[in-house]
Amino acid sequence: MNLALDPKATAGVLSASATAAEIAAAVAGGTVTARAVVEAALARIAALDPKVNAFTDVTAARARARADALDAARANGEALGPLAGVPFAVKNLFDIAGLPTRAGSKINRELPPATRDATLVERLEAAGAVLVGGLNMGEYAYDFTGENVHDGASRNPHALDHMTGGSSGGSGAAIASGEVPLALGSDTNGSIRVPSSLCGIFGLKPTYGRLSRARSFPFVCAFDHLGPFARSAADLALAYDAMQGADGDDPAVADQPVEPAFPSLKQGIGGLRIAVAGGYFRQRAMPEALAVVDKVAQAVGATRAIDIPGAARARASAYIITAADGAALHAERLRTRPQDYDPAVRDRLIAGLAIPAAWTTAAQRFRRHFRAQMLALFENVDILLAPATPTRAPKLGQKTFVLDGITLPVRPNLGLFTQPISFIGLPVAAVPVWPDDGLPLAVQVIAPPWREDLALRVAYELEARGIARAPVASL
Amino acid sequence: MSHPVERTIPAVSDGALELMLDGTIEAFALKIEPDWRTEALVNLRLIADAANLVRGLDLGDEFDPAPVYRP
Repeated sequence: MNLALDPKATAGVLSASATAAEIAAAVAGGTVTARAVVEAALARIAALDPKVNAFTDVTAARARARADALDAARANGEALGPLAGVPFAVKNLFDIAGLPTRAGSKINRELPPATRDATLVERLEAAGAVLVGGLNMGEYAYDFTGENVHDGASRNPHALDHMTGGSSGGSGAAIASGEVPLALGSDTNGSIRVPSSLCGIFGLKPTYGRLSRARSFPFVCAFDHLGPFARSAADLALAYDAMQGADGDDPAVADQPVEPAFPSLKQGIGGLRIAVAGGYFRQRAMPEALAVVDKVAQAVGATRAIDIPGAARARASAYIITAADGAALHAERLRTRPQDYDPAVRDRLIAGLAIPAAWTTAAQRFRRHFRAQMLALFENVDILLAPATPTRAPKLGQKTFVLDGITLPVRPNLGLFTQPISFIGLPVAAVPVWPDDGLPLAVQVIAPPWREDLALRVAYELEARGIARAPVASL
Repeated sequence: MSHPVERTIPAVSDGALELMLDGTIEAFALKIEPDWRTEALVNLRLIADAANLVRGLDLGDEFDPAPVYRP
């Protein structure tokens, strides 16, 4: 079968480093077939996944059928979507028709297969993308490490004995390894931004309520967000734009117009008021985590540091609500099948069941207060810069690290800088920066509510200037 | 009094946390191993300390929680 039309012309788009935009342009333009792109992705998954353990399911037959349908549509003269032929994979808490939605757990994989895809899977495929599988994740998304006792840890493609970060660890590994150019994950307290940081890739956590969560397994309804990972800011924008829109199947989706970000990506950052988050966001971080923020700040001319009052309380509040809401979701499973949980997840959920309503209500009241404080702050600034993680990727199995001279547990504290932001649902682009020859870290580019376009413009500019980059790992 | 105001909330005692956890285990009919209880108690202490920090800011009586139901 002659899958690629011209081997020389197609070598680039069939490689691990091809971006979604490059693939879509080549498929739409007839330079390469969608089938050839999908076959190349499936071959990479077969070759690389034994090393990085990103995939829990590969939907090869479905992907090939979908690719062939795209190629047939093009042959018939039909216009293809903006993600034509782009292989993508999703964290295994997204429903994939025909597969049980395991959500990283032993328990849920025994459930009947999903009968319909998650809304965001449907929307990406409507834009021409091709689903190739489900991805490893921390159990029930209560995780920042990317480790999983049932499926094994996803491994950092840039250093296989290090964490990917979680809970969307498989998403991070699949992108950084070059298995696929586009993946989806979820972010309740940092699970898109933490893997983006540890794996050195771009990630977008949109505004709470922007993208539908319909037919994905929940964790904390007040904080759950879904969003894309990619190796370029433009790919994030393409995917994000394809996924926007109302959805009656998710009551949290806001009555917000579709606001494409891709068209404004190249507008530059002139006129944007960019500041560095100070105070809380400059403490308990390794020097390199602050160095990458400073490098970005210098590149964009941000000289102001703005304290974020209440950030520690915001994190504490997120911690309480997460424990309580997560526990409520799992109460009956904890009664009937406690031995089938990851112990690190189970014991936190048991503790969460004991939380009095007075504590969660106090946290929700503080949430309203903190939101008001942050909206006032955004009257004088357009973008805030903050570290995504306090450190580079810890080693797999590492239980503690030392921050500011204090020994702290790794698992909760990888989300030290992400939790206060998702607590009030602000949009964030995680932008990967390599401070030296070691492992990368990401910077959170934080925008006001509904201004994902601003965060993506800054991410794009940083990438264009060579400050941010997401190279495929050498494996 | 104008709000918000910092205030001191007494820390929850270890004994009180044990009572809360054991009552929860009983109320939810959980069957747990002793070491699970130990780990859960460690986590409940972290949560209680977080709640103490949050409740240490008095927002007044008329401040709605964030998730307000809209029919």
